[in-house]
Amino acid sequence: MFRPMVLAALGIALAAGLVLSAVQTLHVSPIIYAAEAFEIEQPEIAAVIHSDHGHSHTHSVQAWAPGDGFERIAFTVLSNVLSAFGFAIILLAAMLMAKDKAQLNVSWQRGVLWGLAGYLMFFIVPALGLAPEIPGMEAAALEGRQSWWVLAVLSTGLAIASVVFLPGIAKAFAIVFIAAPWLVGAPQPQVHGFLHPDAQAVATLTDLQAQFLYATAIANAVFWVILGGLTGYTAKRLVQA
Amino acid sequence: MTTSSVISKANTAVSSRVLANSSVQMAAAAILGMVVLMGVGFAPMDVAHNAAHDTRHSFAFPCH
Repeated sequence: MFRPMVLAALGIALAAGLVLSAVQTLHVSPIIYAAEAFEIEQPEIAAVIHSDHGHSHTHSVQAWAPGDGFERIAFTVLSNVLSAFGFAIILLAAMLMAKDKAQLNVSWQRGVLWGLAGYLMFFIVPALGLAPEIPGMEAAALEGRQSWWVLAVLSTGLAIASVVFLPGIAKAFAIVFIAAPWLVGAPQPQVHGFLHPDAQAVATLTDLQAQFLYATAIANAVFWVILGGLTGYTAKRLVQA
Repeated sequence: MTTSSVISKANTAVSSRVLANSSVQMAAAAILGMVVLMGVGFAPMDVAHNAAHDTRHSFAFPCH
């Protein structure tokens, strides 16, 4: 089953990753580029401010980065497809396990529901604690945010699984999993917003940040519905084979 | 022991082995997915960060 699953996930990833790339290139990336224009203008100020409170900034002048334009978009498309592969094979394994152990049916319609669960788990709940960022936005140290992100994803997954698979009153365990990331608390920066010295730039960046929330929420919703539907369809084909 | 009961026992053994085998394969598939996601979304090297930069921001993975 492993080999067919990998091949199926690759096909799903190619389709969902390319749709995501199209939506992203039109509606998400332009906001990132616009925010970066402010970041590049003030590198020395950013460096001074960041070193003040031990912020780990991973940009290095020497490190390779894809050139703007085609190269950057190509690497983004590749990263999208690889991420989609990761999400698709996890979703496929979960669907087939649920079919095997809990006799849950598989179909493209059920797949869309799985996709919405993935959207909630991997985007909505983590984003409620750690808002999607544009470059230049202040944020707490990276490691703490990554750990909280993983906690939010896992506990949301367990909450959804509790509601779907546990019998009767045991479903209430979901409350523990829903509460867990908020009891820990998402790491917050010392200063919120943008530390750009120009007030006009801060206003523009704040506006870009608001646009970015909507753009990513919509792009990820489209991505997860397509990914879920295709994975459900594929799971049915794999089970019948 | 009749022939049919032997066959049925053999079938049960085979099917439970297939099931265990399939669970291991599901877990392996899910772990493969997590490793790929960690690489694209969380790998700390500058080169990995720069190549996947716009993807990380779009998925709202913690970045920078």
